[in-house]
Amino acid sequence: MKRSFAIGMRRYRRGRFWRDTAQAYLYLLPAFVILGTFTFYPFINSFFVSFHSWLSFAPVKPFVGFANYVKIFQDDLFWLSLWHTVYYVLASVIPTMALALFIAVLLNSKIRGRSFFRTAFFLPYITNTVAAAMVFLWIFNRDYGLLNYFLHHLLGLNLIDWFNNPHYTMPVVILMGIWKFIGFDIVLFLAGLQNIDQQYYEAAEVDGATGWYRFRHITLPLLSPTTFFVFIISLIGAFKIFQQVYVLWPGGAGGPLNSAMTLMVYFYHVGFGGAWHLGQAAAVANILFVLIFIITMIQMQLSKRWVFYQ
Amino acid sequence: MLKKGLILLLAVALLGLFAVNTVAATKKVEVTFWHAMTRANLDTLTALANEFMADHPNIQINLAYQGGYGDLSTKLLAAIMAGNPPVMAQMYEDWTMKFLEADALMPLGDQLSPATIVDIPQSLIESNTYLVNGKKALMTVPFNKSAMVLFYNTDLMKQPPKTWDELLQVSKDLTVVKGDTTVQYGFGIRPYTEFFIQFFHQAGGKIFNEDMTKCLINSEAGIQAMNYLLQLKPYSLYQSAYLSDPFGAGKVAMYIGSSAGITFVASASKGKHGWMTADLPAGSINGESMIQGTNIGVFKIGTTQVQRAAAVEFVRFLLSQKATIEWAEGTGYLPVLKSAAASDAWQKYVATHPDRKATTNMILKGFVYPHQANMYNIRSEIETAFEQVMLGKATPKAALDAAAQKIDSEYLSH
Amino acid sequence: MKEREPVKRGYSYKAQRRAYLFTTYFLLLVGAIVMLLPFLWMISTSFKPLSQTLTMPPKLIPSIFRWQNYVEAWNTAPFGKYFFNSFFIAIVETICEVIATIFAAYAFAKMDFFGKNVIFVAFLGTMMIPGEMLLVPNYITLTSFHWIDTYYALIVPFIVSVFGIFLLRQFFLSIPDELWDAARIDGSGRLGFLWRIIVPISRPGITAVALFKFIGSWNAFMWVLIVTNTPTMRTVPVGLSYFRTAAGTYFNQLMAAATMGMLPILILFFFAQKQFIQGIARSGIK
Repeated sequence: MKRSFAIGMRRYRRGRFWRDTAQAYLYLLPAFVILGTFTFYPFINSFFVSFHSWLSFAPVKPFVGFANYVKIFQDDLFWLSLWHTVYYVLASVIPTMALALFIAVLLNSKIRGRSFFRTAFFLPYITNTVAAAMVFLWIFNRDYGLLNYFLHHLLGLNLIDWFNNPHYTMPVVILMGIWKFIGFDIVLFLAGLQNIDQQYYEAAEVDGATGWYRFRHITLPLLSPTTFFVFIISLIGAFKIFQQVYVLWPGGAGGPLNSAMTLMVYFYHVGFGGAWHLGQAAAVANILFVLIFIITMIQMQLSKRWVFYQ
Repeated sequence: MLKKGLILLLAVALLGLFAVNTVAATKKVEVTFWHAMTRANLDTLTALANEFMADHPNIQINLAYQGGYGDLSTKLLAAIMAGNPPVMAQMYEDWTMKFLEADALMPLGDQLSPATIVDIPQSLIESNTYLVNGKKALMTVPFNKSAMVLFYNTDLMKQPPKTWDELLQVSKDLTVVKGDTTVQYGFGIRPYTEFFIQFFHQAGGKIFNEDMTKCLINSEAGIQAMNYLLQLKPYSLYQSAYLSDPFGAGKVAMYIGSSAGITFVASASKGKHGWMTADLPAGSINGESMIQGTNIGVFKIGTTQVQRAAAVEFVRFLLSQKATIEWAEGTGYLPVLKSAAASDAWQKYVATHPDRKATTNMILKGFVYPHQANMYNIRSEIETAFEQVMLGKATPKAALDAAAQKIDSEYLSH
Repeated sequence: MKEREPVKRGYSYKAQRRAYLFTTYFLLLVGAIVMLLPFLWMISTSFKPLSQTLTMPPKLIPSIFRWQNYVEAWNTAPFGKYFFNSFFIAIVETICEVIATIFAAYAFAKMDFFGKNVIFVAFLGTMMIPGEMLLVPNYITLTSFHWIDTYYALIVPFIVSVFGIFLLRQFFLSIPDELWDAARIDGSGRLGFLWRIIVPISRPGITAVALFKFIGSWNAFMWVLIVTNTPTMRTVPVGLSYFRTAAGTYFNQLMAAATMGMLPILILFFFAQKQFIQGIARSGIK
């Protein structure tokens, strides 16, 4: 009796599992269809293309194995653009997040004009990149720009040629990246901060904990899931940086002496512009994908050590 | 409530989707022309198309703006791969070579009268003629062609420099330094390939040898051009952005750039200073000017015989003397026919628009890039060498040798 | 001892609090000015004549206000049509995306099914694919659908966003399972439960997803340019490209057009932000 009930229960549960599976797949159907058609299919296609000598319209597109990858690894420009990408990721993601966290903490206190400040900090994120780039072209203009006006004419520092001196091109890209994406991070951090239960702070108050101590031992650990989420999203976005560079230095060369050429700009340089080597371009994009995937997976593993779930 | 609202909105939206997509059926032959023209250029092109359609009521020219040249090239690439290009489009020579690999273009030479072909300047005939199946054929026709000219600030000088030596001297004289700041530059250098090639050519340089197997950028002429530009550099504003802005603002006294910029320079200098264009200062060998800009090609894949015939009709119209002059007047581009440049109508126009005189002179003294399918990459190599020299990272010889060697081994080998 | 302590603390607390508030306002104000300066210049330039856009020292208030810039900018491209399309596409795309996302997020958050984790990771992986790489193959796909130059091409590929699914899933996860058990006892099916219970209480989260989508759709440029041919199908960002010419950019008119293009989305954010921030907050990003 008891045994048959258990079997019946298991059968019932198994039946429910498969019924749920059918229903879940139905719910996921739009996602399957759209992602399948417009993301997975072209992605698999580009994987295939990357193993062929796919030179625009050449009638024969022979299978070449890893030749496209080998070719790219032999290209100095690839390594240069990889270095710039890593440089951008390191120099923009962490500072943007640190600054965003700081501002979010300030915005999270009970102050007036919060909506004004939130809008102000979020404004760059909603701005069209082309329009934003035009503004940056002016701010960093050597002769007429606002920044040099302050640095050179008011403070008497050396005149910096931001766009034409290869040493300064990456800093410009990074500063623009911070300006553009900090609002996104702030909004997510604000959300995370509002999610922290007030009772933790009240308990800390009773113990006489001071501001820094509270931040270090309550805010940071309890915020770690948000921090992790923001980190992963920012990391993925930063590795794919393209538009900012492309609109600041049109033409696809990535600034003077390729000094701001990132992996996606390199991808564009190889595949579009005029070279149209689609096989090599696909290989570049696949390398970038694998790179992001591996780093994300490592972060997922490492996160177990520092991300604290309530 | 939310659900009902959503469904209602969706229904309305979908209805809209269907309603807007319904296209009225027309019996006209539709010819789609993909271009990259904006503003005054687009207005002129639209006017020309309207004129043409008035004379050809059975043809509908659909002008389709496709962004900048980079966007247009990406789009053409995708469209040809999908087997669905427009009937006609603007195209640069190196793209054209790739389109020919796909056998996508119809030859236009047989469609034009010999009189028209003879009327096109020789340099432009060369740049539109391609080797197809071992035979030379005129595949495209010149469209928006501009020449390099010298823009100069008439408040600062009465006579523009005529030679390289004069250019250097005037640049020196007009450079004004206050303290540690240069408040005015005599000249402007923009580190892009065509800028260097302009000087290289005037020093007698040829980019490739006769059979296109070797790059000659590191020849005597190359080194001479680099050294000359190095001499100019201290008196020049060096920037990768357009020089028309600082010229308009009065920061730069002269610059060499495409005549397509005339309209823009006019608005940027307005109310600040006078300006004029002049023939290029001549180098040691010649005073020729680089002709840039795109051509028009007609696609044979994905199009019907009727569409192609209509497109050819439009091409013929664009190459008529009247249309060429109208186009040049409205845009700042060159009249691409010798007879048009010499015609009374154009001469009369130039008399009232002296800034077009130099442009007209340069068309007969023009030179063009030789055809090479890898020109995009070759240009980037030359640009890198140019930048290295200008930024003091390499000597002219070292930079040009390295570029020539890379071009030989990577892009000319097959 | 015990009597004196709070007084002392209270006094220093007040002073500390004042200093803290002062520093907070000061830092936020400096930050906001840095963030807003580019926009001030954008608006100021939109009123300048082209020849006054580059001056030293920079002038924030134009010496002449040139209102015609806005008229000229508006007439440079068919902006009336572009604004209509931008609104139409963004609204339809957002509505479709929200519906598709709700279903997908619900499945991942509240249902057990075969291959759930693998599918979820595969979905997340799509965020790591650079969009530029998909441009040409998708163009070819759309050509074979005969969708080039239609609203379908502009809308359909974007009605599923993995970022939205991820965000909404987190939100749904924080809704206790007991609600489902109770609903089932009342004889509710999954669909009814989803629409009648989950969606209403997740409204702020849905607003957040919708707003992010709206911003993305509003600013899309490359895709719109590639998959459309005629002005009747294009959007505001394409219009902004009309101000660049082969010799220079008409900064003043571009800024006028960009200011006009930003206004709708700015207003939207200002009104949506309260819901929006609350929305992400409740999702308890984990």
